[in-house]
Amino acid sequence: MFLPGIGYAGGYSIGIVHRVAAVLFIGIPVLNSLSEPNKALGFVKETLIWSKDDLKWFKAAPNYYFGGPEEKMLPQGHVNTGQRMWQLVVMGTGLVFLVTGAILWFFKWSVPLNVYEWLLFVHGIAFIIVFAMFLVHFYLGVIHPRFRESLRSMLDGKVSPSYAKQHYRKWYDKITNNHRNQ
Amino acid sequence: MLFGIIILIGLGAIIATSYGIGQTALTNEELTQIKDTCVDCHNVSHNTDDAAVHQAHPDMECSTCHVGTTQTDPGTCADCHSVPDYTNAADVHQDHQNVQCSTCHIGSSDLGQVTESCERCHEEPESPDEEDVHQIHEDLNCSICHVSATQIDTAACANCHSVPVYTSAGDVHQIHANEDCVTCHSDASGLETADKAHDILQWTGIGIVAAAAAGLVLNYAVARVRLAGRKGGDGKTND
Repeated sequence: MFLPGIGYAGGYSIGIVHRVAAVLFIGIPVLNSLSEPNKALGFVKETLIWSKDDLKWFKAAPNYYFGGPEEKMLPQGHVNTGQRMWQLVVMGTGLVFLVTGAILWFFKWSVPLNVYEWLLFVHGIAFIIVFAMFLVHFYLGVIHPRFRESLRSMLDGKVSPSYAKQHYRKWYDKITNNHRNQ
Repeated sequence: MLFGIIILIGLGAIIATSYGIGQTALTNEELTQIKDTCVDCHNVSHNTDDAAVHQAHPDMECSTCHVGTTQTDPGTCADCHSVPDYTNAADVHQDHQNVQCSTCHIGSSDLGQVTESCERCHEEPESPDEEDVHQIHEDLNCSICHVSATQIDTAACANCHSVPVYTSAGDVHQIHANEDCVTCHSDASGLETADKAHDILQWTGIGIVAAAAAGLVLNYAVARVRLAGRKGGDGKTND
């Protein structure tokens, strides 16, 4: 859709792919949330509740991600501020996709033309934001030299103690304290 | 006998004179005198817009057009000028059958120039935006697009602009084949508002993503060098 040359020529086929993707994009999180509502609620809370530490993380992040010393980065929980920002973008743009997409799909004849055009525009802007953020997310998870282990951890959901201590110190301390107290 | 011949010649001369035989055409000066005679009683508005139609027919007697009482009969225009097709529903003349020709054709020798005269009866469109479709076409006659009274006929757009392929299933133009172009292209510059909006969004997106990608490549290069240079540091062990 956003690739030059595809435009109208591929509009119909892309429209079908787009709708199938939309159903999956909305349907899977909804089913997952229904199957594990507590986890879903925890995920939403974790994403929406921010603190001053997050602001400090943003200040320290540029140097950290450009290879600066580890000790200058604030200790993080099991999901760091950047990852929570990604979650927030996915949730926010997901909501935009859901609302604007539903109107564009099911109520296109019921809204004024200028509203329809604005919905299209907002829908497109949301995609640009989430896609740019996806690139950053993918890069940090797969390519960035500081986070090599994160890719492997996606396979079994585990990271090494040293990696956890290094990047998710709050979480590491919490786990190890719990372990000592048992 | 001679008397009889004289009588016949006299009768012939009277008959010939009554049918105009042997008469020469009136000179402009004589016409002016006749018209001046009309003006003695009738108020001819030479100083208003209507004067233009008079100026376009300087050599004609008033009564050539003014065959009735005070107004011009459209039928008299048709004596000399070709009559438009009133039966064509898409023709602007069909909607103005009861309007005198000179109401729109206010006098130019080019009868197609009716732009200003439309605004004598119809409200001038508001076009504050330079991208407004009226603003873009301000030099055109209204009737070029408004070929019928109330609607802009899509076909009128196609007279100048290339039309999209309506037969492609799923194409936005095929879906809206029964809509006027201006329903969507309401403030078009070159009829590409929708395309332009799409292009802007497309190239903005490509620009942002390209900038992000370039930033990430730069980040990778810098981070790799800095982490490699920090021997024994965090970059060497688990990163």
